Amino acid sequence: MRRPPSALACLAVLALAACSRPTGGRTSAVNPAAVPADAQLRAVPLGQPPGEANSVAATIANPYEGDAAAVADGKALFSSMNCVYCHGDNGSGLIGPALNSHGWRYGGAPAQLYNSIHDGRPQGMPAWGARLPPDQIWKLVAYLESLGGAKPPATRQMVDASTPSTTGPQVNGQSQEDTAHEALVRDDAADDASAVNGTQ
Amino acid sequence: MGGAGVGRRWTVALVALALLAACGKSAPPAASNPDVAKPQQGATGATANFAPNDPPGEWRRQARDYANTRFSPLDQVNTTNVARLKVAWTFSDSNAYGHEAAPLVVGDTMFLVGPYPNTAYALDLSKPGAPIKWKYEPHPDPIAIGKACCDAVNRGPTWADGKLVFTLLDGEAMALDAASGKPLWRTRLGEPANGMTITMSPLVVGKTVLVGNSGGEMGVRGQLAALDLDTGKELWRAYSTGPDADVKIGAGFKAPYPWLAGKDLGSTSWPAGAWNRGGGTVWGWISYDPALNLIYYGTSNPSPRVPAQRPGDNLWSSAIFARDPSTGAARWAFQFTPHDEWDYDGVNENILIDAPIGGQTRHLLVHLDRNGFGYTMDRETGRIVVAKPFADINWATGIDPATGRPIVNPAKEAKVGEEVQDICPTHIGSKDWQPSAFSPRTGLIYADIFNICMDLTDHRVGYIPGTPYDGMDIKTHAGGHTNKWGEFIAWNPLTGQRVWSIPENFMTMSGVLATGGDLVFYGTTDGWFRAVNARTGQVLWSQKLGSGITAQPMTYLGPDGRQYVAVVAGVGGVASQVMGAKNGFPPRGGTLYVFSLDGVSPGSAKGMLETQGAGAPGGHYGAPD
Repeated sequence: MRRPPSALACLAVLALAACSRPTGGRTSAVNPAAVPADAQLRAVPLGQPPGEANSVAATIANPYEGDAAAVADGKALFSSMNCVYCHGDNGSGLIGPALNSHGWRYGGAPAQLYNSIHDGRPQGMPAWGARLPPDQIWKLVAYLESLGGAKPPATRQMVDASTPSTTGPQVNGQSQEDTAHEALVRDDAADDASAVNGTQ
Repeated sequence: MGGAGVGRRWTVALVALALLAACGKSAPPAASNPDVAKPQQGATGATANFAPNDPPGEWRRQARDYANTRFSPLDQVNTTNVARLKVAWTFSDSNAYGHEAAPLVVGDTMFLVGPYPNTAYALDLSKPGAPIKWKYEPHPDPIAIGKACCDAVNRGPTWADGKLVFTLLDGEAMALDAASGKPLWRTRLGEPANGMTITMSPLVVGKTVLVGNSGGEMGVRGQLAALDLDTGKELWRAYSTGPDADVKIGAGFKAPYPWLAGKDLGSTSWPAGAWNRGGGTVWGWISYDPALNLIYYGTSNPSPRVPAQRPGDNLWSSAIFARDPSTGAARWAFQFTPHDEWDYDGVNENILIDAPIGGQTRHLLVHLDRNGFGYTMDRETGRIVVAKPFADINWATGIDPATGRPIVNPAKEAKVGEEVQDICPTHIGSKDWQPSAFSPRTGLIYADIFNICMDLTDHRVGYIPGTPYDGMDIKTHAGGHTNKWGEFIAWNPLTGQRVWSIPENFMTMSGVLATGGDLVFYGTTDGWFRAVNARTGQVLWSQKLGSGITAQPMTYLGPDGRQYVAVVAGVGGVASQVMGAKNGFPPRGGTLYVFSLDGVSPGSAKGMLETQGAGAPGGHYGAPD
């Protein structure tokens, strides 16, 4: 059914998507060939391979990258799937962790966000792969990316290390002005600390 | 094991203990204030039954007694010397979730159970520094962390018959052998994958462990289960919603008001089938009256939180039940907030007091509800004696004396897709779970409360198991006449009036301790622990701790005969959700602070190090234990 697309095919489709990007409405659709294959996503490790600077996750793009209609669809899903009551308005965090800051337990690259939504995570995040088709999960990812916290890990590391803080000292790339709740949800992931740090 | 047997046993115990009490109240050494040594007539004349009349220096359950007074007779620390309180020792569990529990003290041992992962500790109070005697890690399922609405909290263990009984966040209850820390039984009461968690502290009555559940924000159906203390085997389970058979409403049930009488109201007051995911969870406190052999507890908000999706009164959410603990049969029930539109759970503590009214001693319960009304009810019948607001509220203008129903202000009713501004109180109420205390020396209730209002927009929601069934979009702000988030009040339960109050800039959410030294203790979410003169409201002592305080204070008599006061500083829970982003809100923590006069304890004695060999030639610090 699904075949791993070649890099060339990916580029071609991305170029196509850039040309035909819808500008409004909530009917965004992409060429199915642009949707990363399941096998490709399965190959994204949860942590970082030893000694490697870049994650394979960074090489997989969201087929809806920059698609305003998809972001709107994702925002609607974020509400209708009850995500908002756990992760807060605009992903600011509540029961679940904040999704609009740069700290991610399981990686903030689009493919990593996809996998977290698809597979669920141990501290209560449901596995939505059983309920939502891939294109809807990618729209959710597009919405999360629009919140500003998601960046490919390599980029994020550079930005976090080089951007002077305007709010005070940073610890592990995390501004101290983050709410206590956000600080908690990161700290409590002590078991997963290596995975989190590995992506930073 | 019948109810009659339980009742009889307690009656005998009561008589015996009443005789004991008559011989003289606890006489801890060095009681120095002649005033506090004298028994005093309470200002209101109200008293309480302090069954099971544990030794005065001990604290065996979160509320200390069945009546939920949180009153300790200890008076070594009193109004004349409380200013000398200093830290004697501390203990940190390095857990950053919100701490809401009081430690227990039984004999020479202190017991603590923390927030998730619910690690239990026993500390040896007879040794310097109170070293760890044993530690038990139950490893509950981490899935529960993301299902608990308001932080992965736990409201503490209870001690009974040599066992430490507590709940686990992932929907279980368990018992340890208190002497060794060895697990005795562990019982699952629900599935966290579907949103059910447990945060409440169980109550043990005779051989019956009573355990409720959490998840009113997740479409969980409320329940109270009774387990056998020796085996953990489930004896009965009563649901808060659904047909009478499930709610255990039968022939012995007497409705306090006509609108609460009728068949299967727990299902007919809902849209078809909605009761099955209708909330009414049981995450607060349970009281017990041994003379009437009745337990009392409240139920949470209905699910979903959007009222437009559940026309009807939604019984028995936001309500109180009186039940026979031996069978679970409901004797009476009353709904504080019919068809709740604002998230006003009815789970707050019910303090059982006895007071003269019209020349008669009435058996009452006092309940300061989230909805802002202070209810004083006849605990035999469930009928209201007094119902007056204890805070500035605007969602209702009063309570209809004929029905007990609130008179709702239509301007503050929730609307789908439309913001309704400045509803007071906000979703967590004028007071949340943090339990108030009662002193028989003043006859007053002491409570830490909120002055918080909200702008509310409702959204329709769909039910997806294991996700929030919510729909409330809330913006909070300080309100009321003080415009300050917190407040500590003294409340006359017979007149429904405040006696005095202390406004606080930050939320007050610690619960309260009252003592025989005419002191009341409470903490603030910005980390101040205070002692107040119970009669005048004068703050006599304050100490800033390392985190905000959302845990309950307690007091005990150490093996050295000294009175200690203890509280955990580890801010969290809903306080961090509401105020955590505010400037000055402290970081989390998890440190128990134990105070004594001048900070003296076995570990602080002068020369302690010498006795351990440090001062001797060739000596070293700290002998191996």
